[in-house]
Amino acid sequence: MAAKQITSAFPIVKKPNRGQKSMKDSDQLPSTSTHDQAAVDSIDDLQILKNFDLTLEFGPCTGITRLERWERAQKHGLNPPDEVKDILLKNKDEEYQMCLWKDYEI
Amino acid sequence: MFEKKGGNHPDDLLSKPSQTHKACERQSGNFSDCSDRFLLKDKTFSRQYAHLYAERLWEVRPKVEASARKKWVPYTVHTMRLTHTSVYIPLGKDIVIRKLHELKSDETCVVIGTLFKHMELKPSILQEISEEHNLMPQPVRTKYVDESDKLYLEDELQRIILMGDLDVQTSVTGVIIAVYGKEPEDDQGKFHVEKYCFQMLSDQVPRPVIQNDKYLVLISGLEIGSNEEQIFSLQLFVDMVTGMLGNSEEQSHCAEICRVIVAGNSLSSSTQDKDSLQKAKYLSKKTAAGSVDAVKTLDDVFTQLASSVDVDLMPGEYDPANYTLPQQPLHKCMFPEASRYPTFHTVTNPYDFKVEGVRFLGTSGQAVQDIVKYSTNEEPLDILEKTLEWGHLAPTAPDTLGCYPFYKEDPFIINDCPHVLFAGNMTKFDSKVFKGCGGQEVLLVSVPRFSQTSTAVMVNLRTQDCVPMQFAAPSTMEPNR
Repeated sequence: MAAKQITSAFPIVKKPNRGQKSMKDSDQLPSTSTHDQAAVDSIDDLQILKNFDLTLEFGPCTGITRLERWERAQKHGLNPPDEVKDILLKNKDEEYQMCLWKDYEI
Repeated sequence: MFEKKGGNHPDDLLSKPSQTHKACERQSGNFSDCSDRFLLKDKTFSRQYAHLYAERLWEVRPKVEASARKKWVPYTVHTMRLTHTSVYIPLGKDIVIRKLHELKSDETCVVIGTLFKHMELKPSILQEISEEHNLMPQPVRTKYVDESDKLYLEDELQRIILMGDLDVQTSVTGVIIAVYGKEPEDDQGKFHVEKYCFQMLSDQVPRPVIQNDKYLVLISGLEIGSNEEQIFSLQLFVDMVTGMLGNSEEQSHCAEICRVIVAGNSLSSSTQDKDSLQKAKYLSKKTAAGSVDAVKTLDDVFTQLASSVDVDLMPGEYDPANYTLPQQPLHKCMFPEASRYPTFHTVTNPYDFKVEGVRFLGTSGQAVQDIVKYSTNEEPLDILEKTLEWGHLAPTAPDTLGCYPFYKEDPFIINDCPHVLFAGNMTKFDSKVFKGCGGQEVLLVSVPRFSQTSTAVMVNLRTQDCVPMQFAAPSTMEPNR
């Protein structure tokens, strides 16, 4: 089989935010560089939380908040990563607290 | 049984009323309630049951592992050349415990997981709505067992079918088990079991020595509101316990009863009138529910009882409480008169409590009846013994028995070994002392339905003996000629 790029079957779809973000930053004051950093951090944090959800060792993730799942994993000695708890305690946003499948009624 | 305790009390039943009338003091028992884990704090039903199974596995696994390490020591068999005898030589190392995804072919190891019994005849909602079956409803059976039932072992990630020495017919879904065996190279996908074990029963807190005889009465299945209700026998029971019957000797013996536990089904199934739900509202506007009169009768009965002795009322299958286990206490507004007494308590099902240091644990029988339906076990005492061995009060919950979707704990796991384990609403009275391998002694009691047998059970807290209290009444009136 010839080496096919996955992008030939699934082309990259550029998110609409990306272009706007760079445009916004360029004509604003340098103090917004922290704002930009925070945005990147939040994407990283969400990625870490998403990986926490998808880790099967900590049990099922639907129907309970991430903090509850973390506490439960801690109780049973499964060593959940501490940074996940830090992120959860810092941000009380629903996006952070609820699991990946929060919009689905399961 | 009261007659045997000979006394020299003069027969004061037919004597003249006297000024100096001795009053009997009822024995009191030190009571403490341990059922806090059965009370539901928040009621969110939007969770899946996977959490309950995961929690059960995590909590019970370390105990099953300890039990397996203690029981199974790996060995090799060495046949002596001259005498041709076999010698078992311990290998000096621990058994290997593997998760299912780490299994290697032909390696003898131990796997710990949840048992799942695949049953062909188990009612399944998917089969019911399946178009292939032309929407024929599945018949309601008394037993759903079949020859072709199979056992699977499931851990967090995988499942494997079990072959070998495990008795499929007497096992049920939901038990945490450790199996010792191997997955053979030529039969992959199946685990051949040589030995198996469950959680070890924890050590019992020793019972304190009690000086006097004290009794606790267990009664269940009053089933008021049906055609078979035994109001006369029930009134006899109430009069007996409150000391209205017999001479002063009998009254003083009844004063040794310190508590009465009503283990479920105080209302009968006929009070759960399902027809009224189907009928149009305008037709059923003036009709009162069948349960209203029954509850009034019950309130009357409990008022009489509570005025004299501590009463704990557990909900049962036919009582107006929630369907899922653990059933929450009945609301006190149903018993306005009885609730005025501080001795009247409504409690959860299952119920866990301590009287005079004797630990009682019991249910209104739903768990036992469910195990009867989904396995070939018949005797309630056998099933109670098995639940102690398995370490779980209701292993079939939530599979076939309704259960609240817990996520943080599984309250049905038997962590502390009780002294008395009872199940209400059984077909007959029976009792047995179960001796555990750690020296524990548990009295297993099957409390019969009062509406069928007119029998209550008295448990002696001092000797851990158990006696039935049976009431007979003339069953039919002579027809008028």
